[in-house]
Amino acid sequence: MKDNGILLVEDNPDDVELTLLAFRESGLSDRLVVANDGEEALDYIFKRGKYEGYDHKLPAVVLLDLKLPKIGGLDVLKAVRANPETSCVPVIILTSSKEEEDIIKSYSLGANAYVRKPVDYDEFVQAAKTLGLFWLVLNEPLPERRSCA
Amino acid sequence: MDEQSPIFRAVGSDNNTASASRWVIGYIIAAALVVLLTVLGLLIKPFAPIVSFRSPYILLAGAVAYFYGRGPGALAFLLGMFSFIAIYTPLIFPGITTIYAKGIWVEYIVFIITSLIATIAMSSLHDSKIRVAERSEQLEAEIREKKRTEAELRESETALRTIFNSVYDGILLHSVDGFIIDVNARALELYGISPDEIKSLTIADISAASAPIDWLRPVWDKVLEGDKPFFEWKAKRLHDGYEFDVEVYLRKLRVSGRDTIMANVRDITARKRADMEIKALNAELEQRVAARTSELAAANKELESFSYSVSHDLRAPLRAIDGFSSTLLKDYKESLDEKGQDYLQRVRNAAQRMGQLIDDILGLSRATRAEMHLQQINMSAMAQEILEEFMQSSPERKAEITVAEGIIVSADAHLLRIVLDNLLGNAWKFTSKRNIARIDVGVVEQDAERVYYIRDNGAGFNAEYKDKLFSPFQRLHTESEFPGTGIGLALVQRIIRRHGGRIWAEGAVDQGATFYFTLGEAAK
Repeated sequence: MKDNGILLVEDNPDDVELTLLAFRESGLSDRLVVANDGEEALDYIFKRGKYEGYDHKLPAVVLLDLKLPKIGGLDVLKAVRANPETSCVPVIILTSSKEEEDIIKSYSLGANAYVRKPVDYDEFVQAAKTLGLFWLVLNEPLPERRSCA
Repeated sequence: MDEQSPIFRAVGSDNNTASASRWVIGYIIAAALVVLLTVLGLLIKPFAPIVSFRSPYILLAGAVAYFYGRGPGALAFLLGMFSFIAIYTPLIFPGITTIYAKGIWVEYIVFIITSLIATIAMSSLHDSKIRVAERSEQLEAEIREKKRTEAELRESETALRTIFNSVYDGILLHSVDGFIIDVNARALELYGISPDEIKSLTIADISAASAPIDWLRPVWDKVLEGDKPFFEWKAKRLHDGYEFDVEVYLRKLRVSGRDTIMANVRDITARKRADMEIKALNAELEQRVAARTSELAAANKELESFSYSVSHDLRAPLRAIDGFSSTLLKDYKESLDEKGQDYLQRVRNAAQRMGQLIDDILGLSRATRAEMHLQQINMSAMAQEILEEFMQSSPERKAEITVAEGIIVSADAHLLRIVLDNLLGNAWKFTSKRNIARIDVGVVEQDAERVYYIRDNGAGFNAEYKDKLFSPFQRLHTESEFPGTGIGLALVQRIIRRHGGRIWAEGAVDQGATFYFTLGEAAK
């Protein structure tokens, strides 16, 4: 895993599979790394726990679900933003919730975007394409070995 | 009166008939007695020719003066003198003037002087007698008056005592240093003291230990200067030490030449207890309200987390159903015949529809719970904006739209937007099969209430079902005719009700529909 890809934090295997399928349609599925809960996501980002000693780059973008086992999405976001090394990693909330409170909290903790997973799969594929295209192709990432803190 | 002479006062001062007749009678009797004496003298003279008849006249004048006063006395004296000198003596001793001329004049002068002295002395005696009588009468009257006054005083004293003892307030009379002088029956009862204990008591003895006696002393001093303070006090029953609350009113009262303090004392134990009860009840009520509020808050919180779960967890499987069906349709199309593909498409439609239903239900619950912020809103502008969006999204449709200008309402902006979105959305949807859709937004005044309406020329509805329109999931059209979840009008009705308004509809099949609503503004 040399390229800085997409970190998908999602506990529901169906959603993981569907997201992989959606990204596959835009040819980006091989750049997708999956963490099944908040703890694993933080382990991956901070190269600790089972990712101890790995040399992967920081993800170009994190797709973060809010309802996660162990450590919730908002806490993951908080931890990422609290560390100067990772505080500028783009985090997109990708969730089923449309609750105003979730949206407000996410943005106030520093989420870069908030996307609601539509039930209609066609819409979801469209969303995945747009997201991948924007963050991996259009968006210019922070130069390597630089933090923005 | 006092300046008048005693005789005048005795016989003539009183203008009443009794004294006037007594006055006349005095003179008549004086004259009559002199005449009688002269006649008597003349009759007895032949039997005692030497005896001088001087003395009876003197006695007569004196007696009349004594009994009838100066006037009749003077008359008796004058008549007696006349009778003695001019009638009696010449008749008895004819020629006496010549024989004893000198002696008879001496006799006359002695007679006159003696008679005059007797008359004056006796009339003086008469006057003294009258004065004494008057004085004693006066004294008697004074005594009677005094007795009457005393009786009245006693009656009044008794009446005051009765009042003193029958008022509901305790009354204490005490000196400025706190020694009790007198109390009424109610005070005896209040403080549990017997009448013979009163004199040895001070106010401190009948005050609770916690009562600030030292504070009271300067208050008493001020009372003597004219203050009339009113305060609450903690009193104590003398023997058993039971403490109770009283209300005290002090004022100065002068008794037997001494400045004392009168304390009106009212037992307010019952009132205090009632106050306490009210306070306790209030506290309990507040506690209950707080408990209910927190229960409600907890219930609300639960509902919120429930909604959250519904929104999040119920949608996830739907996404899987739709997503995998879609993948099947795309990636495994060859393995499925047309029928299989149709069924999969139906699975997808159902999943999407259910997703829509979940969203609508959550919207309904949110609209009912959300806090309301009333403000002045230009409903005309809001309606116009929504309708313009519809027209832009379906530019192929022809529509005639009229929105009355300047409808300003008092409502929650977000919720009103949901109402208009739904009502205008319905109007737009149900006129989709008309060549030219007509939608009117306006307001009418009805029974001093502003009634807003949205009228269309769309599919309308059977008036029989107009009460069912607002029930959740109740639909009057099939999904294929007009799509929808049946939640919109239920949502609208809840919002209208939260504003204190009403909503109702009129319509007929293929005749269009009119939705009327109020926003509870008339009541404000």
